[in-house]
Amino acid sequence: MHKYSSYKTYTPYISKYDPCPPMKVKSYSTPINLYLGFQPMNLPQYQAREALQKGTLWPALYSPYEKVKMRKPLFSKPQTQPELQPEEEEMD
Amino acid sequence: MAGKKQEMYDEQLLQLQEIDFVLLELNLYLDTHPGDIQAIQQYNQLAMKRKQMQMEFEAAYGPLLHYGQSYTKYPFQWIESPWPWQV
Amino acid sequence: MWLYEKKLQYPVKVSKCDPMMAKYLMEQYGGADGELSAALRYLNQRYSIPNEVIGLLTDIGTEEFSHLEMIATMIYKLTKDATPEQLKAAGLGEHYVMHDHALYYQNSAGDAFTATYLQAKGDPIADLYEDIAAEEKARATYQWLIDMTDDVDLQDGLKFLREREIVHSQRFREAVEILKVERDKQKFF
Ligand SMILES: [Fe+2]
Repeated sequence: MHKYSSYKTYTPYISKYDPCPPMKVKSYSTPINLYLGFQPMNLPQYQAREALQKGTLWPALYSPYEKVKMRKPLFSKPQTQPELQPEEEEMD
Repeated sequence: MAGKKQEMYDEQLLQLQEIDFVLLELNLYLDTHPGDIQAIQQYNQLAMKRKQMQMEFEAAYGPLLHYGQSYTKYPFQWIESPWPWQV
Repeated sequence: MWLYEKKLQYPVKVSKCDPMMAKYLMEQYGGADGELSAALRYLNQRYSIPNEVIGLLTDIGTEEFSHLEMIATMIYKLTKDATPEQLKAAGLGEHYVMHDHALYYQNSAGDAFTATYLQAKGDPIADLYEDIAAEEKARATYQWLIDMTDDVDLQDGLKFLREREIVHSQRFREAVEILKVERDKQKFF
């Protein structure tokens, strides 16, 4: 995955008159296409099998979704500039 | 299909889906990067390999394409089940 | 013209008998941000856009039809052997009365597909931004669909489709970059 986070969180206002138990933290996806810019040439590629399974040929474009209940709250400091550094590097 | 034959079919189909997916990804990439010579070489190499794989797959399981883009045995194989959503 | 290829883009597996999930999946079959909508949107816009991006609209539009076929496969498998009672319990009683086990281009609430889901402004930037938004909305829909099922095989197919929306959005963003460069600059000297 990438150095930047693939989702961000926020904390909705909680009123004591809200009828349901509050969701203290909400989150939303911030996929790679927000950061990548024009795709650079010669990025590392997945092997064909993994590419199909991941849904993209390039690790740098892989930006999976995590189910809400599995997400950890990110009480984030100000976001630093995202860097494009795919962890998984495989050349075809 | 059942047992061994089903397994063989699944594996060969998967290999075709894999190479076709890489070709599709390279195609979309080249649509916006028409000057990437390395990607073009990779595209052409895989396209050649794909043709070979298609011929082998079709010899075993029947035509992938219609309108004369694939050969057929007797009787006309195109209409044979299973269709992709039935498998 | 188009050719049909007798295979799915990605292997679709459904492991749980869950007709209610079929109802939800119709959002991506005949819904506003669904695959039919996407295919028709891009293939229609390509007639009035600069040459540099016609290929991209053609290729993504065509891929969307293969996604439509994947969604159809999921719905087909989830409803194929469901009894009228099961369909009724899944909220598909009205669907059964109108269509039996036929698929139909409608959204998860049963509203029929309409061309008003698509835009074509003829302005390349407006249209490409529309396309980027459509991809993001489709991506979000896949997230909510993933949340609605615990069938890992079905989730697997939905995750593939979600990632494709991210790649499509990326390419449309690049198309905007291509069109915004100072292509007519020499004329002003
Ligand atoms: Fe898409």
